[in-house]
Amino acid sequence: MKRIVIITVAVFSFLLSHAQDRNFARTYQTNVLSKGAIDLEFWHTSRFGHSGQYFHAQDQRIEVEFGLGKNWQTAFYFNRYQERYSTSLNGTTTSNEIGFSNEWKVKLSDPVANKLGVALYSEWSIKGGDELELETKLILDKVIGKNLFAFNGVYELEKEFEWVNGRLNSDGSEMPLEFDLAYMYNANKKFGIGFELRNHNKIGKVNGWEHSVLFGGPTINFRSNRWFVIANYLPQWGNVYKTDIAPGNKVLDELERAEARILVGISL
Amino acid sequence: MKKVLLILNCIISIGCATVSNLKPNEKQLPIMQRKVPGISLEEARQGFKLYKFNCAGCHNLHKPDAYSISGWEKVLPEMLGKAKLSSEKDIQALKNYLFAKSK
Repeated sequence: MKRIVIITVAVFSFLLSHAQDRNFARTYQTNVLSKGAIDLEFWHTSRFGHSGQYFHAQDQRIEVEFGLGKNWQTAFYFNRYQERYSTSLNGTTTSNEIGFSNEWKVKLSDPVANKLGVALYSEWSIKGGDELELETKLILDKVIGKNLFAFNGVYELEKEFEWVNGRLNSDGSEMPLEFDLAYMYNANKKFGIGFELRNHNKIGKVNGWEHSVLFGGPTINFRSNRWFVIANYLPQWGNVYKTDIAPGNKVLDELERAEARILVGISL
Repeated sequence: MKKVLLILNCIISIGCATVSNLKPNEKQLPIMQRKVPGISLEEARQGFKLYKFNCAGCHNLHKPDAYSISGWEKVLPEMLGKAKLSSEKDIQALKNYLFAKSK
């Protein structure tokens, strides 16, 4: 009981401050925190549904964002990845990994004061001690009355290392290219409803362009001056670029049938 | 690669072209001075800059003419506390900008 009271008091004290106006679960917007402001975000993503296999992955992130002034922002993430999947008809296996990420974002123009909001974003990550990732984004957004539009062009570079014959080897790199498009209708100051589209393209160094998969689904957000909660459900619609490696209508070995994400943000 | 950089450059240039009716200009000065007597173009521009940098961090900017002066007077006391402005002069410049460009 004592613990519940302490947690409740802590949560309410967080709610007395002001959180950033984030609207989407996946698509980034150009806004950056003002100098000295700190935000805390909790992410949970469930990914589930592989072909012929039980699969459920849960990704959790805790993010601390810092406003640096002059339209710059940085953030640090602590990540946990868990995958549970069937290995035979009667058994499942669970794997766990942790990771760390650091992002930098600079806003070049504002979605209200300028014709178009523009920001550049970069994030580097270490996953499980043997995987390095560099992610860069071009972020565009525009606010027209109660309507918010956002677009992200995302380029990633992933490199995995393994210990082979007494030497550290890299088994090649992947360069996923992603395009995110999002729309939100902010019905009032506290509630918004919209959708997000995600186009994921896998481009490998050896096999070239392997697939282009489209996801899409609804996003809702609730917010006060001091916190926000965003939820999104994103089913896979289909593979729009079939190749010998991914000939099916959907890609259900490397990607999942659906993803669901919930995000809670509060200000410190 | 050249093409990508060219497209990126175009997008940034379009994005950074400021919407003229939000950034104060000489033509608007007489109208602004009717609402805030004595406001200079320099002060109005400083207020605009502060508004862009300090308010857009937490929420999308509202167009100044979305509220009347009395409307802004209701909103500002709570918001200025969160805007982390360092001096009274900056607070006054931001207020004057919003009042001068209000409905």
